[in-house]
Amino acid sequence: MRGILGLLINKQGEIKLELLFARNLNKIYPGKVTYKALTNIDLTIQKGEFVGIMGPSGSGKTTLLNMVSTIDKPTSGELRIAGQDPYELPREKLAYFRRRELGFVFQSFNLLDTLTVSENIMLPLTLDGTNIAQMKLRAASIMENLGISELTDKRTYEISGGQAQRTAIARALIHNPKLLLADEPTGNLDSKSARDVMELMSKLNREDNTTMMLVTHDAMAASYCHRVIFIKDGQFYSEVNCGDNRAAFYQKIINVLALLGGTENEFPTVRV
Amino acid sequence: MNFRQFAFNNVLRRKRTYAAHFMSSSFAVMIFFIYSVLLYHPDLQGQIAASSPTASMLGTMGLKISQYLIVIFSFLFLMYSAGAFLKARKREFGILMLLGMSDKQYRRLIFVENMVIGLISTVFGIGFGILFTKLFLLIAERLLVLQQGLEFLVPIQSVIITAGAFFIVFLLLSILASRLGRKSQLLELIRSDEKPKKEPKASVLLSLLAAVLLLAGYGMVFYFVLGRAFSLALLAAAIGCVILGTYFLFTQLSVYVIRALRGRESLLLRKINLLTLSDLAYRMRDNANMFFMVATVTAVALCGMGTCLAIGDPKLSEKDNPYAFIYESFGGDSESLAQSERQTKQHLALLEHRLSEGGFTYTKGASHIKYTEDWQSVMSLSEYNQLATALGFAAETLNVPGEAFIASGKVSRAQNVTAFEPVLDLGNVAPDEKRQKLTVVKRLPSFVLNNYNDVYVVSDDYFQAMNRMKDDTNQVTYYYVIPNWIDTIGVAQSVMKEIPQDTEGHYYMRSLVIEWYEFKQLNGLLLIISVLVGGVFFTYAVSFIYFRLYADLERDEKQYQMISKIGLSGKELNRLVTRQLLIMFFLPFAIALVHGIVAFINIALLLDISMLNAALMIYISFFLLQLAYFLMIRWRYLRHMHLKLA
Repeated sequence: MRGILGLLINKQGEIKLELLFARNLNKIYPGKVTYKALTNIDLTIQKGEFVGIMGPSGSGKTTLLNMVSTIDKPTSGELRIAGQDPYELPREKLAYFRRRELGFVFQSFNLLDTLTVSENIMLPLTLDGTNIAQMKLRAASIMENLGISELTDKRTYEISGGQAQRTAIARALIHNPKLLLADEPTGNLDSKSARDVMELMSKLNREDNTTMMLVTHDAMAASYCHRVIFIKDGQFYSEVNCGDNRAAFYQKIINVLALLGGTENEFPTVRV
Repeated sequence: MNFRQFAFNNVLRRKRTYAAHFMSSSFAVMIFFIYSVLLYHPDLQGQIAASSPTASMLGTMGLKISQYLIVIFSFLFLMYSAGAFLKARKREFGILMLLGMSDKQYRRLIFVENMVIGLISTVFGIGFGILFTKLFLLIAERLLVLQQGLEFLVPIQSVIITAGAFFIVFLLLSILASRLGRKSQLLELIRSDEKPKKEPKASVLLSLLAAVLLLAGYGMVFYFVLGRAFSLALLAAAIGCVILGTYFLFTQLSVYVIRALRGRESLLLRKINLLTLSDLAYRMRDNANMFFMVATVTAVALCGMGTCLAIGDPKLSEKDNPYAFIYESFGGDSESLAQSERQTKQHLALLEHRLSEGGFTYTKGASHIKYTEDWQSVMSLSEYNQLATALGFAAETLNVPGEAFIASGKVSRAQNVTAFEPVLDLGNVAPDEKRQKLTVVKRLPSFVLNNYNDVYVVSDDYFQAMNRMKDDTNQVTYYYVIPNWIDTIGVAQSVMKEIPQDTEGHYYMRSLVIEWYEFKQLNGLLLIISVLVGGVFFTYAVSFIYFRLYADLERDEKQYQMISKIGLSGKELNRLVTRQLLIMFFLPFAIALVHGIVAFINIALLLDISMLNAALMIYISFFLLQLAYFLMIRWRYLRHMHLKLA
């Protein structure tokens, strides 16, 4: 049973805040050959949850993420983030929505070369016109928390991939977004950095109760999630819950991936 | 970091990226500034106006028109380059939008960025302009033969006008740029990982159209000139046809040529040809557009300079006048003749007085003219000989009575006439019936007489015996030969002031030194104007090439890294890059040259002068500049690539 503000009352009578609610999402790309990227996807993410999305190449993972990211409108279906349908907002309001409620982490970091590390991190606050003292305070504290304090005045070409991704995560979290969206955040990292980044995300999820949605190829990365949803050919395939044992969860993920039709080579534990 | 700081940093930390954009706009500002310095320099205006009002007026007009041209073309050029940068930065804007930048903030960002670049380049342009002002004033002094020289001063008006004009240009540009492409969808921005654009459509029809348009354009220009069909609409249509034709030429031709080359496997699969050709094909559309623009702008620069130089071509003027002063008295009828003669005497006395005051020695001569019944001019041999020997020609003789020769007038000299009628019939002004006809023995083409028409020189006895026509006004021309005439400028200026040009047509005075100054100043001004305008256009043309290279730099880096891993040697890389740059630099240049040749031929036909020297000079200097720029870019580009690959 669902309340107006996305409050969900489960069978046990507990009240949970439903941060992301999607029902019957469809995406059709028109063209000479119309292409159905997603079919009837349902997805619900509770506040504080860390959810992974997996699937073979071309399964529609990124399309789903783009729709949740408010950059690609679904053809049909219902989508609410924090009780709000972002596609109903006018452009100006949508910009405010993005800068206040959402945080993004990308495979290719997408830091701006013209800015220093700390300026990159402050960018969402700059866009929102926060006062400078507070901006600096928050940047300092989040950089401290992420262990990149010494990079403050470095430019983006002077730092390593792992450091760049930490910077990107700091930028995604500095404004305390309701939902963090990560698109293959470990895709461009070596195994050590990838592990560090995932542990960091997991820690932030635990400590700050930040809701996260992660799209990945990487079973190792996915094993840090609470649950993983598998998509194949644009349709829901299955869902795996973490439970208590991360090693077992990792094995379960590998098994599903094998069943999905890919070989294990297609999903190496470490991506280079 | 607040939003404004963010926008500032975006520009200031991207200096290299904006270098070409910045330098070309600064250059335009500087040239504009130099024009206005010349325009508002008090000494310059005064001095030119004193010696030649025509040059002064033409100079003022030319400078003003050039300024308008520079402002208009700067605006178009800056629009293009701002657009190119916006395109190249799509991905960055995508990230910013995703982070929650609103449309309003996007507009503000673009506005502030463009304003920052604009203001800095205005300041730099004016700054460099001031630095070079002294040099330019010196050059202007030389070219315009100004005796008093030009004081080094920067007219405050020039600074204000330059700053004002470019402030408005950059303001408009910033507003327009900030409205550009704001409606693009975020998804497209994020995804703008370069995909190759589709090859332009190559169709037989469009290729034919290109040829037809070019031929029609050229044909119309020739018709305009040869058919004497001077209609502005025709000229506009011709230019339109040529521009459109050039566009299709590049978009169509490039497709055909590259396809044809790729089709020949023996050629394609030889060494680095595969890379060269596939790379050209990959960027065909972008390149075609760039080629089109560079060719058009270069052609405009060439034609502009050609026209300016043609107007100032020495052959257009009667430069071989050997007399320091010429005074023509047109005489008068029986009533006013006496007064006219008195006035002439006064004027000549004044001139001669001033000349001896100035320490000049002169040889004087005169030509009294009588007319035949059908108004052919006749003068006496002794007067002619006096002038001829003063000029260093041999004295002529007329042995047989009844002989005469022709001293060519201006018209015949200009047209290099050599033929003449062998018999001159004097009609009723002849001394007597027996001597009514003269035998003409030869024609002398040298400049001895200032008359427009040919003058028949006859023996003194005969001239004395000749009667005057009833309406003859007793026209006399006095000539002064002064070897160091070039120093007479002071005397000439004061005498010209004391004897103002007569508006009623009683007399007319020419001073060689003043004409010489006028000529020099006119040419100097035209040279300054055309070189500066040509320079601005040339800078724009090469900047287009720079933008093209810049836009692909990242992709090229990746590609060359990849290829060098497969095994491309440094030398081969050099050859590959050189070949591509050669095409980029010299293909549009070649087309512009062809357009230029057609334009030059027509200017030559229209004005009946030889454009060969001017054209060769312009072509060679443009070619050398282009070559220098090519070598510089090649060097920098290769160094960059080698550093990346190392």
